[in-house]
Amino acid sequence: MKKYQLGEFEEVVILTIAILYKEAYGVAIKKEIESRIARNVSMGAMHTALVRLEEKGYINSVNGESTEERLGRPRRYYGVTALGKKAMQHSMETRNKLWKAIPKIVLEIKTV
Amino acid sequence: MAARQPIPPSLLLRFFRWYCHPKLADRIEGDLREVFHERAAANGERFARLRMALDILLLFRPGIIRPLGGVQSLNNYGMVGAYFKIGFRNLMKNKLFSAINISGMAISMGSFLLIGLFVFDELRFDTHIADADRKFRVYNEMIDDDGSTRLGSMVPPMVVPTMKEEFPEVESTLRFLNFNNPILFTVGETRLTEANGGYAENSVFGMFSMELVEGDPATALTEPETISINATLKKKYFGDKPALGETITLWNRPMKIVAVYEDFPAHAHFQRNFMIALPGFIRERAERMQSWGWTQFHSYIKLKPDADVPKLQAQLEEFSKKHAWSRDFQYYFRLMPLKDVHLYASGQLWDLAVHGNIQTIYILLATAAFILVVAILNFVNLSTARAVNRGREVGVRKVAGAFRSQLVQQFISEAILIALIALTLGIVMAGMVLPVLNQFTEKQILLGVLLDPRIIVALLAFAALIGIAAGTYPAFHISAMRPAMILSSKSTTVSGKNLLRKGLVVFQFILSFFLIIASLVVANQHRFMRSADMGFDKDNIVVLRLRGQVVPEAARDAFANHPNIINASLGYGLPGEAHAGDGINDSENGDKEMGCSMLTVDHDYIRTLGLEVIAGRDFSRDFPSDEKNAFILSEEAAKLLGHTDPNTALGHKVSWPRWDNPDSLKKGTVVGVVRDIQLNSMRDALRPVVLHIFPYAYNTLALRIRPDDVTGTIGHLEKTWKSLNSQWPFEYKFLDENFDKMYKSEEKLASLFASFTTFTIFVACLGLFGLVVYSTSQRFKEIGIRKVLGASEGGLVLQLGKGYLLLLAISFLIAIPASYFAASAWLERFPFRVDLSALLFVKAAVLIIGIALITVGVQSFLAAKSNPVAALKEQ
Repeated sequence: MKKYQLGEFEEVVILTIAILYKEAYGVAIKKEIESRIARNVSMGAMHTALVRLEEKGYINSVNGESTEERLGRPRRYYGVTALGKKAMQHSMETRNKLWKAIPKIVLEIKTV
Repeated sequence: MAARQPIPPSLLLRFFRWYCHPKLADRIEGDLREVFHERAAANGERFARLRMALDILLLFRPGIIRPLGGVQSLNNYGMVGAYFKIGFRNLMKNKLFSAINISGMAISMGSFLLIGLFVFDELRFDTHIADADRKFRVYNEMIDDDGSTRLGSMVPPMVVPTMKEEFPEVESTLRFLNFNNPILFTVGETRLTEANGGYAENSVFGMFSMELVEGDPATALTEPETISINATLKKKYFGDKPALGETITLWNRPMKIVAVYEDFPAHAHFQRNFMIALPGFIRERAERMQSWGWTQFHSYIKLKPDADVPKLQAQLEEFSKKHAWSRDFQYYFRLMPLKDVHLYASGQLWDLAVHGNIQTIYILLATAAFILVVAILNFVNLSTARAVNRGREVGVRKVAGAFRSQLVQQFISEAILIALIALTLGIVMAGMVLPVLNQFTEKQILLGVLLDPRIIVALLAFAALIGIAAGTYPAFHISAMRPAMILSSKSTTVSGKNLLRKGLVVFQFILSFFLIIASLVVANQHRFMRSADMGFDKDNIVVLRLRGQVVPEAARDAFANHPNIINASLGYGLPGEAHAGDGINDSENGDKEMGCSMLTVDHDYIRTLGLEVIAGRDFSRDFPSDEKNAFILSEEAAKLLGHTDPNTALGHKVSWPRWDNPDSLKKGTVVGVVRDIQLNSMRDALRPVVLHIFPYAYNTLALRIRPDDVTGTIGHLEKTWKSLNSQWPFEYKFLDENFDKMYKSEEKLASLFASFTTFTIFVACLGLFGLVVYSTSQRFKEIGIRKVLGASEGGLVLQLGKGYLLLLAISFLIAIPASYFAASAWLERFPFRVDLSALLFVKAAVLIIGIALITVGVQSFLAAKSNPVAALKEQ
């Protein structure tokens, strides 16, 4: 676990970046999360997560084009690094392991 | 596109840019703007603005906020670090100059620290006393018949109680009656004499914020026959057992211990070991306690918080007139803040306070400032002189794009670095010298005071300040150089600000000269007072106080019966000791009262003390009537009676109110006149002295002994004392001890001054040495050429040195009058003072010229000696 630290919200963000592939910049990521999992994302929370992810080396970023609306501020496009991919993988695998370990009965009762 | 774009709230965005990490600001602001426009399009501008405000607020979190130090300045910190690194390398490169700069500064900072510690210690007096700002000591300004005033530390017993009655702003009062002599303590079988005690009122505990170990401060010392002692005395007599309720026998009367107090702290002007309840004394001497003339009480008052002190001071004039002047005592009672007593009361007579002297403090502070200034000037001098060598560096830096401000910063940081190193060395030096300082100032100052975090910060700030003061001028001077000039020309010489450098040297010499004169004058005055002819011979006189049941005459004969005792005399009143100050009446002039110092003596007194009779005769046993009606005057006393020629004073009729019976007079005539005697220290003006025989008052035995075999003599005295008197322990002293004590403050000042002057001169010479080394090295080639052309070594030394002689001459021109006036002002307060002879100034000048010539000469000689080949072969 220690090896790939990924918070819950950070995981959502990095997954979304992966989904958006080449189109992942701030506003797009925000919209994507909001539309896909119906969850309000504040600008502050998202950017903090982005900063953290970048510090950890899971994502990298590059300045892109700007628009008139942005008044010359470039869009910052994010991409998942190899390390980031490993972290996502690791996170999914641990979840799966845990899922598999759940006795079937627990889930059945829940469905009733 | 729409006609009008929705506008995001710019103020909020500015706020965002202010707090946001600069790396993130652009991208996030872009996102914010993009979202804003979308929201504005979907939900309207108002909504979008509100949401943006919310977003910006939520963005205010760690990870997004810029680091506290500021990302931009990070680079600058590195730069400053580099300045220090380069500064350090520069120090290492020029070890000689660095050593001169650093040691000079270290010495001056060390001296400054020492002086600072001393002054700080003096200023700490009585700061532990609560409400000290509304506590005052009442002192006495006495107007003599001739209109001159004297200040006394004590006032009559009626003063403070009456003040409390008449002035509502007086909250509480204290009277203390000191014992001038030690008292015999008897506890069980232990009999010891104890000094430093007196009668005190209960209010003493509150007045001096005393801490009681045992007893109740509210009731202690309110009853007669009770005593309070300090913790040391308690330990001495009672060990670890509680002492409350025990008794100590004094004058054969048991005194109950009602309080044990912590010893007075070292920083208290009022220091007493034991105090007896004043009420007992009041009961016995009720009549005397009504006196308005008996100035024997150390008196203190505490005022109410809202009291108007200047008004009270003014009212006291009226008060003094009403009570004292109406009774023929020409006294003005005045107030002195309690905290001032230590430093400002040194002019008050008969004081028991621990005294400092504000003048000493000012003198020392000025010295500290002088030393610092000299060290700073050294630095300025050497750095500007060496600017040439740094010229290349400055040129390259400028070409590489350094701003002038950066160069200034660089040079100032170098100066600060030097100051910091010097400070460290200075503290080490202060630590080493402090024990010596403590020893002769009789203080217990610890270097630990410096460990206080506030002091550490202050010291660092001080070092930085010194660095800035020393570094600013050189920094601007060096950084002003034009790179093109320095880098293009082959010559490294920059025509100098020689005038400034010379000016600084002159100024340093002025300060040094000033200090030398000051320390010489203080030392001379001290020596003068110590060795002055006081009208009697103070050496080899042993003083014994006769106590208990002894017949004075029998005791004298017993003690004198030894070959080593030359003379023995009984009396009351010795020079440097207590003597009566009442005076005589001039019977030929309507019994007019004359204030004189009265010495009560026997027939051998004049011989024993070595007084010189200049007219008439000594008391003699051949004239039995001498005991009843003979008086001997000093010249001054004769003058008071109107006789400038001592011979005409003989036969003058005088009378003296008897102590044993104040209503009757001892009438008599003057039989002799002696040369003037100085009864106190030479700091005081001569007082008229009258000698007469009055056996009733004898309490002291003075013995003139042979200077050899003092131990044997003292052995004889002790044996005799034991045979006469079993109750009191044997105690004696030499008369000259009194005088040693009197001149202690001048002695301290003289030695302090001498050492700090040495430091200053040393620092100034260091600077001079540095300058000479530098200028000779600059003229190395010139010297070589001169030698090749046939100049002699002696001629070269003269050539190199004569410029400095001129500087010395200029500094003397300024320093001599300045130091003359300062020294005269200091000497003003001594009625007997040394002359400011021209020789003194010649001495100081020769000293400075000598030191300067040695400094300059050695270096010039070395340069002149050098082989010209070494200087010239390069080209």
